[in-house]
Amino acid sequence: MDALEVLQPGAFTTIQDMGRYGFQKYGVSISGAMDKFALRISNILVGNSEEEAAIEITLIGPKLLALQDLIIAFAGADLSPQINGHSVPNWCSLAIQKGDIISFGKPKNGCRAYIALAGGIDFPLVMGSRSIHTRSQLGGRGRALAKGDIIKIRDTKRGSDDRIINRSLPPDDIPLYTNNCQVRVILGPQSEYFTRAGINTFLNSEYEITSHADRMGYRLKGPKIEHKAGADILTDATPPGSIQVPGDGMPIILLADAQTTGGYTKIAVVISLDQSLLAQAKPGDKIKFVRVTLGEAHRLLKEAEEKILKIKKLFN
Amino acid sequence: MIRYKRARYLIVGDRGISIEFGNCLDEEVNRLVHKMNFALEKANIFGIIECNPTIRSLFVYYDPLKIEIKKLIKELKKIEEKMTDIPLPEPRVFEIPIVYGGEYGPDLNLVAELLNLTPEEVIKIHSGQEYFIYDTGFIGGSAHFKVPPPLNKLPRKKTPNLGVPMGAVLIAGGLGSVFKPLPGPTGWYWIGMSPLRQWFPEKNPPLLILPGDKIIYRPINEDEYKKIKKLVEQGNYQPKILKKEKGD
Repeated sequence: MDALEVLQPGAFTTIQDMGRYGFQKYGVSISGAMDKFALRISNILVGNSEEEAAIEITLIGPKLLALQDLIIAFAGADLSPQINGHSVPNWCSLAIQKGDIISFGKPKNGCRAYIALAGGIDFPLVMGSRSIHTRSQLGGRGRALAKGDIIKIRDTKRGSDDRIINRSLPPDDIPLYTNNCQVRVILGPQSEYFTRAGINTFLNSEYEITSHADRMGYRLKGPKIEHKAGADILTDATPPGSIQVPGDGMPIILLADAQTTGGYTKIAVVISLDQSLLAQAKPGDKIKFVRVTLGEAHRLLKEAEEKILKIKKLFN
Repeated sequence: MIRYKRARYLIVGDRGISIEFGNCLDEEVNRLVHKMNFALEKANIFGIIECNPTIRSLFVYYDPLKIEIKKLIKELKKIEEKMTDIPLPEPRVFEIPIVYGGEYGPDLNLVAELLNLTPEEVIKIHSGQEYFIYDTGFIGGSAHFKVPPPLNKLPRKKTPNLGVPMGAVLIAGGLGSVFKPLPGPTGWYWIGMSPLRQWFPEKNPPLLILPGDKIIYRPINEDEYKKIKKLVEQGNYQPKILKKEKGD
């Protein structure tokens, strides 16, 4: 059933779910939502399975026309969501009516917002995922949403379920997005290619996100990170979170649309939890890297999962 | 550049392990990677999300909420010990038409200059022999091979280039990319263009050339390029497979 019509597409609006797994060996990026936490919460708020696809919005939001009565939820960056020009809360589910217009005002904080639709987005599964990956032209029409595109929902009954209206995420659980983010990393797999001074520079300096920042990765600028000999390695896997340092000594953080292999030394990898945090950082924002052990990272991940489980229980 | 006596298990963030069999472009090392990949596909260990075989290492992507890291490494080592008898698929030899230089390969002259060769010599070396495909990666399954000396002296560019077109034939860092499956950024030198297509997202597997296959370049002129390109776009071009070899 037709749910929304794109009147204006915004800066870069796509459909994303939890990602496309099983095809990295063929050079297929995982892709999926940049901020998995916000995606999952947006789905929980509208009573969907948390892995459902949602609309991912980047800084400048789209203008969308409701073609049906719908239940939707906004989550992630606060880009001042509005219905018919009136502000509505972020991290909250609400009912909208046929003919209503969803739009966005000034970005207040964060970089990527999500709109989940009760009933889930009806979009073709390509290699097991509905995510749009523009660089390999996968998912939907293989491009970001454009004017005139129609977004459909799969389960039409959910759109009128009163129990999922006005659910909101408890304020304590709402993540704080600032212009200075601390990102936890696990050193390796090629930290041995850097001098001690190089590792110290990496862990003790502030890096700025340059304008070369998109779903594939962020190029950073700041103090040059010193290699022992060279920056090239024999190409190996580059999963999301990898921090590559090419010969110029400036780190590149790979994110959701990371290429599957690459040949620059990886000094560290951002823990999966904090990749969601990075999704909300934008050009000009500052980043500091904090070293954690693998054990700590796994403990943090378990705690975060328990938190999501608790949030889910609130609404059951 | 060495082949390790024992595989190294490297931690890659909180969801990945890289099983490294060597630090060299070596067909035997690469075969170990692919054998381990097939062995793991068969073993179907709970908690492994997927594996990505690369030139000299197998990347194992796992869910730490489903399997404990120490247990996973133990299981992987057990499989590594008994994977040697896994058979690999039979290699095919693909002929890859290519136009060198000019607007089809803007870096050809620079590459020749850096290596103290003429552009013609670069072409002769590059198209002069068969290559073994080590991996399919980057975006859209870029297929990689080992380039012969002196082309292997060429480093990667210090700052990646922000975009080359689909079909671009690239070399750098001892490797060649048969041709770029999709347009996108690269830190490699762009020396030619092939009209063929590597990326078929609607098929499974979605790639023409797979690891373990072989390729050989055939220099063509612009006219032939355009003719083949048109046929490829219409879906009417059958890439030439020169011969089949026996697998090991």
